[in-house]
Amino acid sequence: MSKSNKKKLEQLRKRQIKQRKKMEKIILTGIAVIALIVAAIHYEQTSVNGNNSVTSALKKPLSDFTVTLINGQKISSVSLEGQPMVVWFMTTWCSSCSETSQILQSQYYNTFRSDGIILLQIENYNDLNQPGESLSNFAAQYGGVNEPGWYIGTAPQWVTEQYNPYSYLDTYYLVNSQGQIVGTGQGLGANLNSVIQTLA
Amino acid sequence: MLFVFFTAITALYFILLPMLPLGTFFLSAVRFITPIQVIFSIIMGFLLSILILLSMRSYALGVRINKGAGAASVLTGIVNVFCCTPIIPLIIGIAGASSPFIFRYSPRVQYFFAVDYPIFYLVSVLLLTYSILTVASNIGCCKLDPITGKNVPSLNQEA
Repeated sequence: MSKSNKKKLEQLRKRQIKQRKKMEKIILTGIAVIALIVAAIHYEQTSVNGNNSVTSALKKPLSDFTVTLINGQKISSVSLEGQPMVVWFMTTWCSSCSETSQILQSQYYNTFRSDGIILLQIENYNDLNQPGESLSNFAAQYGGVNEPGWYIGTAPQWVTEQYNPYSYLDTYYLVNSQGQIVGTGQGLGANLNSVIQTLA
Repeated sequence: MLFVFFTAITALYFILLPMLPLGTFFLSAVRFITPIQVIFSIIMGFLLSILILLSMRSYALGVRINKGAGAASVLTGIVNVFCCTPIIPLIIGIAGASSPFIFRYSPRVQYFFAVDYPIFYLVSVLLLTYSILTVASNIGCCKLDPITGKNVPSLNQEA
């Protein structure tokens, strides 16, 4: 092999090594970013999930607020004390919320009833300022209308700001029969079994 | 072989697409698949299975393939995980935004993913088509040069 060919090969090899190192850096950065996101989600879920140790902030009583139900009736959150309760903040344009309503209606509502668990379904204030269908249409379409123990309505803005400060589309609180918050999480539909386990 | 890949991948999309908004493995969600998701599951399943088979063929022939577009197409197909899970608020939070900022602006981003998700399916289909065309043309024309790591015209093509 001539000298110039050897030199070319050497240059190519160096370039390949450089490229490989660059690729390794990109992959490592990608892995680090993914790990960070996964860790953040995991931290958030474990710190607030009803099945895990509940943070001290969660041991507070549920605030007293008025919910305007879709039939126009008004109820106070405190008036529902005495039975375990799921307070579900949802959004009408969120697909996991419509799926959760249907799962609740078809699979879990009877268990909620037999275990004496109340469901207070509250629309995030003004649907988090995005256009969505009305709450009554949502309920008529996906479930919960005229079901005893299943309250669907709206609450004042401060309630959403207090209990959903990061604007999650589908978040919930578990309240025991003494009115204490004992758990919280995101994505009610996927966590219904653990919710029942915690409250029953 | 194509049929096996097509069935497996389409079934995977059927399970995955309605499940993503819940952000977890939850088989009951499969029954909430929308007509748009059914159509795109079939199209993406078909295209992805062709791409995988062509990539396998390229590998056997020693032709270099561009994996970027194929991977991007899969990723764009599953973006509605950003709709309803806490991922968007968390990412905005990790980026250093304050709570009021997250409260105000994350729903706008999430709304885009919740309502306009078919756009991403369309992008996914276009990327898959582009990948298939690229891989197919490489198989027809080229071979891999082991030194440069680039595709060069094959002997047949040169002749």
